[in-house]
Amino acid sequence: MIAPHLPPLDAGLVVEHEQAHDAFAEALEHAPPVVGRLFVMLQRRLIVESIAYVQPVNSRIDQQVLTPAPRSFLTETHELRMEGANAVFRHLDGRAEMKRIGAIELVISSATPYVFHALLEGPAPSGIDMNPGMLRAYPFDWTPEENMFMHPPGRECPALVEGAMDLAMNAPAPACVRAAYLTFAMLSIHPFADGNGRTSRALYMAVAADGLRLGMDWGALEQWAVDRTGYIGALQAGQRVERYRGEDMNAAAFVEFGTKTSTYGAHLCRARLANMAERVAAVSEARGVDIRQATIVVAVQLYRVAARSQLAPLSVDADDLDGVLEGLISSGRLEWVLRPPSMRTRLVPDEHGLVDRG
Amino acid sequence: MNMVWSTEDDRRTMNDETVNDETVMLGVPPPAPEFPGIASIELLIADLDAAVALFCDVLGCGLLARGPAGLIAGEQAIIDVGTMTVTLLAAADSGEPVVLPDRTPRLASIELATSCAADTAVRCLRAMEAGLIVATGRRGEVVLPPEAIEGAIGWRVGIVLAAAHAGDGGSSGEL
Repeated sequence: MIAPHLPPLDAGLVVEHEQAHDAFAEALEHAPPVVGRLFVMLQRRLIVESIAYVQPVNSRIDQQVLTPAPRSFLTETHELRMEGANAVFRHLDGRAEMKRIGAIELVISSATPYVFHALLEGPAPSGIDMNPGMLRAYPFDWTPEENMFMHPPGRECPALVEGAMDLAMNAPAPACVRAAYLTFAMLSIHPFADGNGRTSRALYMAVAADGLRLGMDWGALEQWAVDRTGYIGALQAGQRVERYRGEDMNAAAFVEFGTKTSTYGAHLCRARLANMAERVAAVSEARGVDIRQATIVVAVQLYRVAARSQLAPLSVDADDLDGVLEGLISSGRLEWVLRPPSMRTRLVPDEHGLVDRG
Repeated sequence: MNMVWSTEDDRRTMNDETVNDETVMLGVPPPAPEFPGIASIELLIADLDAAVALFCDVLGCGLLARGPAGLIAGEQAIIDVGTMTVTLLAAADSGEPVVLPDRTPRLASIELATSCAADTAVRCLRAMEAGLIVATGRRGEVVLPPEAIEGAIGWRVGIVLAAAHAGDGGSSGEL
């Protein structure tokens, strides 16, 4: 058995993708640093939710909310999936930083699928030990009404994963093509007992990172979560065979879907960043506070009820953050309240949070 | 005010039609004080003939309609129980338009009647602001799918919000 082929992609789509991400990178690099950190704070949460697939609050692809509320009323499974996805994001972020300082050449490595899977399945979100970091040894089939496609036997998985990783890391194709290809290939091979979707989406991030100026595709995975139907449709369009046969499968539809959604996501990120900058400026002007204070007020608005730990990414200095918060609280602009139980999670269990009092 | 990012025919435009999100719930108007009530419940059942016989022949309820389920493969019957309807849904293991993967008999969804479309919209905004998954159904109803509700009540049931008399039954929280 062999890994699926790496398909070509229309050059125009690649150019559009590059232009959209460059324009967003330009906007982020020129935004006030504290507004940039505000954007990263929100978008990181959305990416973690998307890797974990806890589903977004709104699934209308034609009308996407610029600042969606954090998901709440999560089940134990959702929370454990979020915990694993958060660990994966930290790993990705760390690798991107190591690449930036020249310590490593690529964000992706041949060990990445196993690291991601170990991080994602380590908390055992399904309640069953799914051999974190290890390929499956047994067959895996869907129920016929879910998916007729049959994945390869467990014994074939090591070589298939190696073949797909080799193409994703070394083929002479744009990173966005290789990234979406790897997601398609991994979802088709289904090499792990569970957690294949989460691992495959995170792998997209790792490969795409190496082709982007910001070292992070901030837009794609959110779009995959919003357009879940498109995501499944593009995947299944390349699996129109009864059982896994790499030579008969076609990743083209998924690669096109991945690139288009990444492009669209970059446009949305730019609009979101601009919206945040406008909101910060408006709060600063209306309330007579400086831009750092205004940014924290907007961050509190974005979280609806913000725990102290959720605001930490906005500051490089914890004492400084506490000083700003004290000023906003003493002036009556922010107020501590009990966080709704529906918002308390394993990652953010805080009982109290801040709300904006205007 | 929270802007909505929209696209039409792949043209990316900003739409200033707003969703108010000043803070959690604080910026969203309160819902109408009165809730007209439960419009219907939907039961996934194993045997439609037996279920119809129970409700109609034994309990004396009226059969309002019986036919294809519409959104999923299967057949449904709508039963008049006075102040509300009960939709009995027998999901099939094959056929069009889609096969419901989990056909285990259960309470599938509760449809709450709102006072009007605007009331539905407000309650939809409040659900989104509270961080719940929200989808819109074919007849404009708001669907909080089982995945959203499970974390609140511990079991999987959809909640549907629709203006009273917005249309016929059959919208499943499953979809």
